[in-house]
Amino acid sequence: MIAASLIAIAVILFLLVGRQAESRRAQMRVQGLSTVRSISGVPYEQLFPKENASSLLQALLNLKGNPDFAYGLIADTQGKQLGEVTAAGALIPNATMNVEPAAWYGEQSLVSPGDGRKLREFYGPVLNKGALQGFVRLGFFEPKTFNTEQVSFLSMLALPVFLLVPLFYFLIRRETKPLDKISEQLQEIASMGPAKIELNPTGEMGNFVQNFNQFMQLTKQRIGDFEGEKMNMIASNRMLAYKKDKMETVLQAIPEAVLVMDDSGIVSFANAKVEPLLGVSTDKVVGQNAEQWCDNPDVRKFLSRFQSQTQQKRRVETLEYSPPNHAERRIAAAAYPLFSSQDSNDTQGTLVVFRDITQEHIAKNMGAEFVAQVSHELKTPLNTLAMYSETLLGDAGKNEAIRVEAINVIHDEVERMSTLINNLLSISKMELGNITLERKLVRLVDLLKDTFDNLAQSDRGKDLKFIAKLPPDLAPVALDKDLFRIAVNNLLTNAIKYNRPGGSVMLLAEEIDDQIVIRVRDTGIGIGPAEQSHVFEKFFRSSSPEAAGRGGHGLGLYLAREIIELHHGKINVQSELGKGTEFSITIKKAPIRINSGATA
Amino acid sequence: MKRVLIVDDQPHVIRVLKLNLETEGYQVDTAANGHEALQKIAANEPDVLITDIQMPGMSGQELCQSIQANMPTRKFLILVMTSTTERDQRDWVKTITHLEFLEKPLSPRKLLTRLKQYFSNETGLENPHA
Repeated sequence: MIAASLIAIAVILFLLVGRQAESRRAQMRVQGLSTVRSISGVPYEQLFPKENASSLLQALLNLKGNPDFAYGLIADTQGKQLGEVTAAGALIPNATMNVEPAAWYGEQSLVSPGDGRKLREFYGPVLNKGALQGFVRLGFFEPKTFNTEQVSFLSMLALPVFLLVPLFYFLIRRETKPLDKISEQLQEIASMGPAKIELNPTGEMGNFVQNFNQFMQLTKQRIGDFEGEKMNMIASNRMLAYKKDKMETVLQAIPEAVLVMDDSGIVSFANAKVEPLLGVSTDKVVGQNAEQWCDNPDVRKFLSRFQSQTQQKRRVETLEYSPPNHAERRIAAAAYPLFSSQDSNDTQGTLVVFRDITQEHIAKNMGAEFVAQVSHELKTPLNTLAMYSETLLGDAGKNEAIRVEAINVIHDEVERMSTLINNLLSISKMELGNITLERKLVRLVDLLKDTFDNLAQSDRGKDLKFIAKLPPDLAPVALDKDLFRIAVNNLLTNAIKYNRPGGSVMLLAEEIDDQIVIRVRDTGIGIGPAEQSHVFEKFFRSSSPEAAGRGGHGLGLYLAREIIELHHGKINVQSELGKGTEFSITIKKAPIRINSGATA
Repeated sequence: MKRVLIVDDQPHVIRVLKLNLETEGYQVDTAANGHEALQKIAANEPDVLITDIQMPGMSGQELCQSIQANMPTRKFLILVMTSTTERDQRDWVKTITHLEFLEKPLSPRKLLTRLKQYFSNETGLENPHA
């Protein structure tokens, strides 16, 4: 950089000197030519007055102030000098002058005869009344481009320049050094370095650095704050996202279909259960109002009520409906207004929950049917009891035969009622899980025979043949005697109830491998193939008119199955309409105990 | 001898009513459902018909409606056995004339009293013209 600036300075100096020489040369030419013309214009007699001969010299002497002036002379046409003025050390060279009028004025280069310096001579004619008398010649030294004087001046000029350039350089360097440092540290700041300029310059730069450092300190603090806030934001955003995910997962997992509608009725959320329950895919529901997505008129009407929220619509509303083409299904919709947590008067839309209540509906209907059935079942024997007991009190009661009959019927009906009530109590216990199986090793043959005989001897089976084929050596079984008796009793009761006059009821038992199979066979009305798979369902009643007249209550077989399954056994049905039915119970034999079994 | 037709699917009900009525000197005929009852009526019209409502095959309601439609000039009384819980199902009887209810559980004594009263009124009304 220094070299470049020195070269620049040298070039500037050279041009400056060149220009100075040029201007001196021009000045010299103007002076020369004008002086020549002014002398030529002076009248001859004035040019050489005897008494005033100094006038020419005076004019020429004026030129002596010019450092380049060499000489001035007036000579006649033969070259004889009439008067001259010379600068110190200058010699006048000889010159042949052309006397042709066209060449009177002019200039020429000559060489000084003494030192050989180049001269520039300007000349003009001296006239006396129009006739050429001689010539006036003015000589000037050609100005040197570098003369010693100039060289010394230039060197004097160059010296401070040479001294100043490095000085300036170092001064500038010194002043710009903090800037370099600032630049460097800004880069570091940009890459998260220390936010402070570690320099202590004085003066303007010192103030600047101080202010800058304060600013950076503040900025650093702010950036710190922002980063802290940013971390908090990220954390809280993650937390929110997590909570949102969790809430959505919860909402998706809810077994009910959930819709959230805003105040204008547009659905903003719908969980995946919407599709199976409402038959519309979730993405066709979200962002739409009921008019757009709902094709069930009842539901649409129900939901439309929440499109314009008014004060009256701020309570929970419910709807129960069966979807079109699915009369067997039952869906309950409940709409809950969503209140803002800040202002309980401000609703933020509606939460609608759709629930499949088909099972509940069936159970409810079944329950109602069951109560009706049971009360009918209870009332029928009660009715009989009331009529017979009153008969006993009346005139007919005086007849011995009628009295015996009445007492027998009353006895049977009381038994029938107690069976029903026992069944009901057993079911209720079993359904509440209150029943505990008391399994004891039982001689199954005795249990079966006892149950069978009880029924065979009762009035109910009057017209029927009772056949029992029970092997006396039937293996013992671990059973809850009381419960198992109910199951067998229920099967036998059905075999009697659904039989035909003159039909038969058979009880069979046999060992097959490690199992015992008990069969109850009747020659009754039978069960149709479609109904066979339902006979063990609670409250199930055959739809055949023949069966309906026989006063069942849909509990006996249900209870029998529950009991057999509690014993880890199986119960099956085989039947043919009009021919009869066979129920079979399969249970495991009690494990053989080698020690006790042989000695007992 | 006044003839009474009892229609019920419960053999015990038929039996106990029959015992009581026969003791009081009525001639009793029985049917297990509506169809059977219609056949018996066609063969031999009773003086009083006692029927249950809930019966397999043809119910008591259908039986009464059939009688009303086919025998607009019938003279015999219909007594329908019903329980208090079935009162809401009684609208259909408005179209049937000459019909009364018997509350369940049925009291044979009350039935006999009602029949005695009915037949004495009937004869009492008929007597002036006789």
